[in-house]
Amino acid sequence: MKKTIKLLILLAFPLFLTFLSKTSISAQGVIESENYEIQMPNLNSGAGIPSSTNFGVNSTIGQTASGLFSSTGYRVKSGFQYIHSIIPFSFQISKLAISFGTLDPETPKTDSHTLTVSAGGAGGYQVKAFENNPLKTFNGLSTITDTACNTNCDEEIAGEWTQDTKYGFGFNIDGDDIPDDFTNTNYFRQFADISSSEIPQIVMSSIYVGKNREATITYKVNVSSAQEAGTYTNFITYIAIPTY
Amino acid sequence: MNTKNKYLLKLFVLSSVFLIFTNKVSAQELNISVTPPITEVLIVPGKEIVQSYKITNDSDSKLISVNIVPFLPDIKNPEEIILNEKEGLIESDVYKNWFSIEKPEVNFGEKFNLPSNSEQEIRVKISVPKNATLKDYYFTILFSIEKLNTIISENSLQTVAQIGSNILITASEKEDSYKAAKTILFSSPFIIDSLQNIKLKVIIENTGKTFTKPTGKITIENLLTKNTETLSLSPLNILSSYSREIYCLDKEEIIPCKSSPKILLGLYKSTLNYNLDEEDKNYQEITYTFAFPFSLIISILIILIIYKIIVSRTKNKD
Repeated sequence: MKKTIKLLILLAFPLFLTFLSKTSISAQGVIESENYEIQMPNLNSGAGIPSSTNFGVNSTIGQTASGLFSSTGYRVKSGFQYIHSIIPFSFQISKLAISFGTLDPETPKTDSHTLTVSAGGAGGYQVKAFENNPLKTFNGLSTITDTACNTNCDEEIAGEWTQDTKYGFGFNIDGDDIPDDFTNTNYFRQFADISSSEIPQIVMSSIYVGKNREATITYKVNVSSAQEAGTYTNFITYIAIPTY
Repeated sequence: MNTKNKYLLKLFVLSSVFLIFTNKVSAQELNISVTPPITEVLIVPGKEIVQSYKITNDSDSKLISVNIVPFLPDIKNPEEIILNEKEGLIESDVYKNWFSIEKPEVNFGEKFNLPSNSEQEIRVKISVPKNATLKDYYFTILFSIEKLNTIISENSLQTVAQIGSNILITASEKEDSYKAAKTILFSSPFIIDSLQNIKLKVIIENTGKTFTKPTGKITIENLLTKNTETLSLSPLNILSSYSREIYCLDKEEIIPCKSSPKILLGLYKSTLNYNLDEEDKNYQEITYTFAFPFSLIISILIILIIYKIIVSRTKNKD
């Protein structure tokens, strides 16, 4: 009998710890005004036709009944009405710092990371990218220009970049929902340079509901022997936006 | 080691194993999500609402800041959102009186800590000024996330992530604004092979004063057998004065509008029927497609030719 009790404790205690570790407190979605406040237990903000059996309101949060708009002066709907699931719009980047190490002339250096988007509760999506400026030294006096690839490429159109005598900085993207001009992993583009008023460009996009859409961005830098010594750096910004 | 100690050791080992294997393991350095992805507001100028956003950070601690930027769709590709950063709240005063952050107590553009594996509620007050022009206003609320400490010691680049959620505001004195649409395109191929699908393309222009959603269906009817198939339109927002391709909806999935895979034969009539935000006015368009078994006939012909060649060669040998 004692052995059985001990065995039960042995099995039950870890399960209890597991339960504790999984318990989390989730914030409630709120829309409020001077007159009222609605606490939404399912924060897709009541988006869509609620699938939960505990959730009996209509597909919109806010004022839906006729005449309420005229008394309150507003009506609010949150989330997409055609999506029942409560899936947030999420964006992942596998690492935030990209390192090229020491740069040697005519020896291209690359590093990469992965972007992942889940737009399950948001229909389609787009991810745009831009750089604050080309790679520069801290004092801003020396620059590694954006690549022109083997013959020609810019922030809108990718080009093949395989020759070690072609210098600069650029990126390739490979995976889901990427622009068509990235024919293969040898095709590169410049980042849109916001300091030159270039417009951020789409690197991933889809019109469809997507889950775990994944693409790998490979950054490449290649310098000539005339490149001034120094530590070169810049900031790349990715903007992930759901559809409207 | 006595029995009691052995027992405690077993308990410790087993508990550790459970905890290690049940905790979420994430190889992502940034893993962020936002909800809701869209907010639609119909509001009388002078009124205000508070909208709550939930930011979930399933990665290390980060710095976060909030900005709200007007947007418009790209004219050539209306699916693409063009942000007007110059009129964003950080860069300009154009919409300064329209928005404020109620929780946490920070200003737009001010960085604050987003702890690891946490949820942060961000409450934004939307106040449309009394003198605002009665029309639509489109914004994206952007949450910028970056590393806590950035030390640059070698040739490198740093990544900043921004995740957005759209806010569509209609400033109006009345609930039912003028809504109207024009079907720019409803097309299908005129002739297809019997083994192909009927692919339909729908582009609708919003000629009304506020953003709207088409609600409706496409009915594909075989004029010979009278068999029909119905596709549901996805109620995507079409912004005022813009057109947008409308896709179909299968349960919760947005899919291309096309007939289901089966052998088609004869003349098919596809009828598009929709209204705007479930109002009474109905819009209708029709297109026709003829399905003929080209591939089947070609296959039979090839088989017959091969058969004939084989038969004639066999006869010659004899």
